[in-house]
Amino acid sequence: MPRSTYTEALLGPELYSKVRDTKILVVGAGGIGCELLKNLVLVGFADIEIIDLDTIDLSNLNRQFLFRKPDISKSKALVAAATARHFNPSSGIEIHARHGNVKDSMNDLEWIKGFGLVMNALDNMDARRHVNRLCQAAGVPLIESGTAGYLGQVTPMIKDHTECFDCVPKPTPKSFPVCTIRSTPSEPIHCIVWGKTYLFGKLFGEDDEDLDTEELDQAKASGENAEEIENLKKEAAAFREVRKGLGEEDGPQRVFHKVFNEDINRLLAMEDMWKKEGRVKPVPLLYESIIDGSFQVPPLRNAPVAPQPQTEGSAKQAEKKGLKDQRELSLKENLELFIDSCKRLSARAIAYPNLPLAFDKDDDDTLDFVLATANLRATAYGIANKTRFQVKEMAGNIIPAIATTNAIIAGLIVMQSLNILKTLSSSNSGTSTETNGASSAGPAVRNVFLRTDPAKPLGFSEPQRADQKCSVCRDVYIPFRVDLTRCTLGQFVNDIIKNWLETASFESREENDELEWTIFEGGRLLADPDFDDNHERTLEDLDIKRGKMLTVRDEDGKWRPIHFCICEGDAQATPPYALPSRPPSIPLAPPAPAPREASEEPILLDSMPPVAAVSAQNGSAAPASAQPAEVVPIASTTAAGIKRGAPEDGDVRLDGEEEVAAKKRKVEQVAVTKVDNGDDFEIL
Amino acid sequence: MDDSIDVTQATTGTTDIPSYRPDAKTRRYDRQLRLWASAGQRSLESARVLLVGCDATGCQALKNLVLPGISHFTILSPSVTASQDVATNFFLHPDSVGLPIAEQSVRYLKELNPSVEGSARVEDPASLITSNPDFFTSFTLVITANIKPALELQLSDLLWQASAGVGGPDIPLIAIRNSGFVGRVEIQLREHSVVDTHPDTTHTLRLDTPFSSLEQHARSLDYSTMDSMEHSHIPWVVLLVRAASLWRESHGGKLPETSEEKAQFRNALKNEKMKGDEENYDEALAQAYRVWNQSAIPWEIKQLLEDVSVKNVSVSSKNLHILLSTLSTFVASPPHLPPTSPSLPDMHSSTTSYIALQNLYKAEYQADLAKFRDLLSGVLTRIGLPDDSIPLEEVEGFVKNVGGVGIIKGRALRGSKEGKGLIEDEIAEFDEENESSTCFAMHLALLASERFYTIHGRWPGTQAQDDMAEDNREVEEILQGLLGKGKVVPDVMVEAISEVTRGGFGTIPTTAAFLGGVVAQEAIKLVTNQYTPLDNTVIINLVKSESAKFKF
Repeated sequence: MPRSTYTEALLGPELYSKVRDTKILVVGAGGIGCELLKNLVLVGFADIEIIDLDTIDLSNLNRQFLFRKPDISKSKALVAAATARHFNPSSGIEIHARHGNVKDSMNDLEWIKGFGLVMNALDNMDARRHVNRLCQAAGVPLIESGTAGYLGQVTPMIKDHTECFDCVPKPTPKSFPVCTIRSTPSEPIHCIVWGKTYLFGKLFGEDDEDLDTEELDQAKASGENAEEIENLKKEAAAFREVRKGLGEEDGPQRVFHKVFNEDINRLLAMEDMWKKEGRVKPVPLLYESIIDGSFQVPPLRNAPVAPQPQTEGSAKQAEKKGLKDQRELSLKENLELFIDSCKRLSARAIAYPNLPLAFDKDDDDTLDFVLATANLRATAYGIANKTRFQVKEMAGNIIPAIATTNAIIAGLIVMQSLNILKTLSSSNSGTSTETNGASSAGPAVRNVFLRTDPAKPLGFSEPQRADQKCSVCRDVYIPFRVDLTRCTLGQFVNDIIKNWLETASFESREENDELEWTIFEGGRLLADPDFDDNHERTLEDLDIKRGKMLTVRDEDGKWRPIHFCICEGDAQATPPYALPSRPPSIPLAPPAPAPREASEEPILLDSMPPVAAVSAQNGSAAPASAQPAEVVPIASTTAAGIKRGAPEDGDVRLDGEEEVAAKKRKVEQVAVTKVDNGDDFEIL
Repeated sequence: MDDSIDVTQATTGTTDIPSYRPDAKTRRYDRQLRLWASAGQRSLESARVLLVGCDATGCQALKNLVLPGISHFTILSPSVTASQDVATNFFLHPDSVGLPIAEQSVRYLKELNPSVEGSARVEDPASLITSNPDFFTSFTLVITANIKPALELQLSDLLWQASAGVGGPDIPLIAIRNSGFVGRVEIQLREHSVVDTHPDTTHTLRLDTPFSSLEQHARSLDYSTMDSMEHSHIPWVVLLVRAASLWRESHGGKLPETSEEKAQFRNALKNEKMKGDEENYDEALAQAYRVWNQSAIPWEIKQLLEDVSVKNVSVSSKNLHILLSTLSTFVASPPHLPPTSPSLPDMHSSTTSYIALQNLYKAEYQADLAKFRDLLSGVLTRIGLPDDSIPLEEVEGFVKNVGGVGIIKGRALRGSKEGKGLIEDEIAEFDEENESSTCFAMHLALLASERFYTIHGRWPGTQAQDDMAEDNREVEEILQGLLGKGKVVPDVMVEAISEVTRGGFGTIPTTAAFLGGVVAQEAIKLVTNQYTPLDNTVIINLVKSESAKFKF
C-alpha cells in the first residue's frame, strides 16, 4: 500500500522522486535522531543510513520514543531502525543501521560521498566538527541541529553556499586554574571537578603520568604557584602507591586517609598559600571520629547569618515526594558512600584490568564516587555540600531535554531537507550550472531557531556566506584512494606532490614561484624539503590510516592547504593509488593567517583535545534549593574519558547545544540585564 | 561497556537500592525535571488530556505528552482507519486499516510509557457533546485535531462556560488546524495562572530603596583604610548603595533625576576609583541606571492586585489568588515593595564580601517571608481556611519570585471565529509590508475555508482539480466578506488562499511533527503553570519557516 500518496501530491512528482532517490545519512539516534527517523520514513525517504555508538539508558525514555524499557543497554541505532521498520513494514524503505562511531576509519570521504544529504543529530562538538569537515570535503549538504531545553536550532550547511560549522568560532570551554582544583577549592564545582577528573582518574582511570606532568608544567609556565606545582607532582607519584593497594580490604580507607588527611596536612604546611585574601584553610578529615560521630565539622565558609529553614523545609518535602536524590547526605553517609563506591569500582577495575574506567553520569558507581568525594572535600574546605541530583547535573554536564523541542526541531530539519533538495534539483535542471545560494524562486533554505519567546516562537535567518578565512570549508580536499601497505611516503612526495600536483592550476602563480611543500598528518610533520627520513617507509608504517588526511602546505603559506583524504585503495592496482583525473584549482590563502587552529589541526585524530563544559541554565536547575541559581561550567575529561562520539540531543557534555543557546541569545539581543549568569553562559 | 555492566550487577546486585539513589521514575524523567522541577512534574502526572479527532498531528502531540508522563489520555473519534491515515500517522500499523482509529492509536501510544493510562472512545463527538457534556469537562485539557468547524465552536463554548464559575475548573482548549505546509494553533483559556514565568530579568536589588541593614553595611565601609586589593573587590551593589545613599543625603532625599544629575552621579563614582582598572567600578557604572530605576511592584503584578478575583478572595479561591491578595496587604505598608529576593547576581568581588552581601539579602528575605506568612495566616483565617492550606513550599516559591507570577485572561474562541473583537482591529490595521502579514493572511484563509466547510460539508481544494479554481474563488468571496464591504482582497491573501487550499486540509508528516511539538509544549506550559503560554493564536508557515502570534 502506498504510504505517501498525499505527500507525493503535495510535494510534486519531481521533488518526490528526489525524496525517494536521495540517500540520507542520519548521525545520531538519540532525541533528535528518533524523531528524525520517523519523519524521514513518513515523508517517503527510502534509503536511510543511521549511525550511533551509544546504548539506550533509562533517562532516554522520556523523549527517545523509539525505545522501550526492555531495550535498555541495547544499541540505539539498531533498536531505532527496528522500531521504525516495525511501524512501517511496507513500501520498500531501506534503513541501514550501524552501531558504531562516525569517526571510525571506515567512514571515509568515499563513504560520505555516497549520500545526497547528511543530517547531524549529535550531542557533542567533536563529532559535529568531524562530520562537518567530511561533508565540506565531499561537498555533501549537511543539516546541523541541536536542542537544549526549550531552545533549538536548525542550520543547513552547503559547501560554497553557506557558512560551515567551523566558520563560526566556537566558545572555548571554561576551565579552572589547576591549583584551584587541586589545592584551593572555594566552590562546590571545584570539588566536583576534582573528584571527577582528578581523583577518579588517579584511582581508576588510565594512569597517564606524562599527561599529568605536562598539565602541571603548563600550569607552571602560565604563572601558577611553582611551589604548589612541585608539591602536586609529589602527590601524584604517591597515588601510584595507593592505587596498587586498592583491592585490599582496607584499601579504600587508606585512600581516604591519604587524600583527606595526609594531603590536606601537607597543604596546610605551606603557610604562604593560606595568607592570600579569601583563602580558607581546610581541616583534615579523620576516619574514626567521623564514624563514631565525634568529628568536629568545620564551619561553612559562607555560613548564612540566619539559619535557613526554607532549605530544610524543601529538602524534607522533596524527600516526602520520593525524590531521594535531592536529599543532602550526612558526613558519615558520605564517608560510607566513599568507601563503598571505592570498593565497587576497584572490584570492576580488578575484574577488567585492561579496561580503564571512565566517569559516566549514568553509571551509578562512578556517580556515587564523585558525589561522596566532592562532598567530603567540600566539608574539609568549609564548602556547602551538594545533593546527588545536583552533583549529577554539574558533573554530567546535563542539558535538559524534552520530547517537544526535539519533535519541533526534527520537523524543521526535514522541511529544510526538502527545501535543499528542491533548490538543488531546480538549479540542476535550470540552464545555469552555477548554483547561487538560495534562489529567490525556490523555497528558502534557512537557519531556523526555536525560542522561548511566546510572542514569536520561531525565528529564521538567511544562511551566512562562508568565512573566507575558514580553515575547514575553504581548504582543498582530494580523495586519495591508496593501498597503504604498498605506497611509500617517497612515492607520495615524488609522484603525487612533485608531479601530479605540480600540474594543478594555482591561483596567481608566477613563473618563478618555486613550490616547496611540507607534509603533515594530524599534528605530525612527515616530510619537508629538508626532511626526507620517512621517504622509504610505507604509509601504513607511518601509521597513516583510512579516514585520515595527508595535508600538504606550501612553505610560504601562499595557497590554501591541500588535504589528501585517505580512502580504501585497490590492493592489486599499479600504482598503488588512484587520484582524480585532473588536479583541482588551488586558491590563494587569505592574507591574514586563519585566526583559529591551523589546517593540520588534528581533527581526524583519535586524541582530540579535551572536550568540556556546560552550564546548567539559570533557574531550571536545582528545583527545591534556596541557593541562587548557579552556573556550573565544568572542566574537561581527557579524551580517554569520553565514552561517546555520537548521539542524541541534550544529553551530554560539551556541546553545540549551549552554543545554540548562546547563538539564540545573540539573535535576540537579550543580554542587557543579564549581569548574572549571562556572561558565563556565553563563554562556556 | 556491556562487560562492566555485568560486573556492576554482580557487585551491587545483592544490596538494596541505597536511600540516596533516585528511583526508576526519577531517572526516567531526569532530563525534564531539570526544566520544570518536581512541582511541574507532579502537575503533569495528574493531568488528564482529551484528544478529539485522531490524526497525525493530534497523535504527535499526544506522543509528546505521554513521553513526559501525563496521568491519562483519551482519544475520541468515531472513524475507522483508512490507508491514508496509516500513511501519515506513525502510531498506526498497516493492519489497523478498517479498525477504529482511536483504539488503534491508543494502543501504540500507550507503548511509549507504561505509567500513562490511555483509553479510546469510539463515538461521534457531535452527539456526545449533547448527550454527555460532563464527559468533556472531566479533563484537565482538551485538544482538538482538525475537527469540523461547527463542532470546534460548540466545544469551545462548552469549555468557556464550564470555566466561568469562581473556583470551577479552568479547562483550556487547544485547537489545531493544518493544511499542507500551513498550520494554526488556537488556545482558549479563560483565566490561566502562571506560578513561574521564568522571567529573564532579575529583581531590582533595592538599590534605590535599600533595606536598613544593606544601607548600614554600605555606609560602614571606610574606603580610606582599604588597600587597593580590597578596594577593587567591593561588590558593585555595595558601591551603588553607598553612592546613592550619600547622594540622597546631599540632595534633600532625592535620587538623580535629570540627565545632568545622572552624569554627576556617575562622575562621582568614577572619582572614587583608586586605579583605572577596577572592574568592580566598571560594573557599578554599567549598573548605575538601577539607582534611578525605581524599585516598585512590577506593572503586571499591580494589575493583578486590582483584579476582582484577587480583591475578593474566598474559601474557593485558588492559592495564587490568595497569595496575591496577601501581597496586596504586604505592599500596603512601607516600603510598599514586594518581598526582597534572596538571590544575588554574580559580580566582581572577593568571596568574603560577596558572602557578606548575600547574607544581608538572605536575612532580609527571611524577615519578609516571616512577615508575609503572618499576613497570609490572617487572610486564611478571615476566609475560613486552615493555616496550612497552602504548602510552605508554594508560599516560599511565591515570595521569592513575585515578579515571576502571572495571570492570563484569555478570550473566547467564538469571537475570533465570528470575525469580531480584536480580529477586526487586526483587519483594519492590515499592512502587506508587515512581517506578519503572510501569517495573518493564512489565518483569514483558514477562517474562510472553515466557513466554506460549514456551507458545503467539505474542505475547499478536495474535489477534482478542475474545481480548484472555483473553490478558491468562493473562499476569496467569503474572505472578502470578512474584510468588509468594498474592500479589495490583497494579493498576499489570494496567495494564502491558494497555498491553504493546495494543502487540501491534509496532514503531511513534517507539519504534523512540528505542530505536535508546539501543541504539546503549550499543553505542558498550561498543565504545569510554568512559562507563559501562547495567547491565543499562532500561525505557522513552513514553506518559509515563519510564524506569527496574534491575540484575537
